[in-house]
Amino acid sequence: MNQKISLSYPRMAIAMAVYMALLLVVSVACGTEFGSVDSPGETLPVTSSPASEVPGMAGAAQNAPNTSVIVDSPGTDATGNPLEEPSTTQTKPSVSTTPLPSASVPADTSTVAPIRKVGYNVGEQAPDFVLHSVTGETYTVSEVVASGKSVLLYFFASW
Amino acid sequence: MLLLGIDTDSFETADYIANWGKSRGFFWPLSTLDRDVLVAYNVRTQSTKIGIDSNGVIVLREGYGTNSVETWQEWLVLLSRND
Repeated sequence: MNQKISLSYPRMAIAMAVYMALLLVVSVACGTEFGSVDSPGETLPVTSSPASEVPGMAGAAQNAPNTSVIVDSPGTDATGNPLEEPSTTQTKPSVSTTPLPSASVPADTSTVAPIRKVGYNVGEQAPDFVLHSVTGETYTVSEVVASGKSVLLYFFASW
Repeated sequence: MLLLGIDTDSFETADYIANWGKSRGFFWPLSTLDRDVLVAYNVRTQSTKIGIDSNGVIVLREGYGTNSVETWQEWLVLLSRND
């Protein structure tokens, strides 16, 4: 029994050595392939830099193409549930709140007529439109008003 | 002052509206439904009345109802004041 064990021991040692060598080769191969994609050292500086807060992330995507996918499209997890947006995307300014750049020279407002909001409530500037009557005439509200007349719109139904 | 009648029923054709207005003695222009105008003026009920003065500003807006003769007279006086 002891002799049988002592004879098989070198074989086991060789097998273990071959197995460890294979593991080492596989780990090295996988490490070099995934390291360029998932390395935190490449993604974190881009997503937290001020350039990443620019709408569109164009600059960040050009500097680090692999990181644009992470920021703009979080994708889903293994169960199919959508992942949460990275915190940097929540700080992106929306289009409606972005102020227009101010002119370097202040405008002379003394000759500019006051601009009323166009809307449908009393006190607001009426929206302009062209109306084609059933008898063939065409009426443009702005032209009627420009001629000094007022307009009464009557939205009716025959019933 | 110009009175413009705009239909709110999409099933009523131009011929139908023309004959309907003629039979009732309406002498003001009538048009079939214009969805863009209804959306722009947020018209949700008939018969909505919207008055625009000679500066292009909305000075009158009334919703549902036929309204009395006296009310119509007030509106016409209001709108024709600067004509």
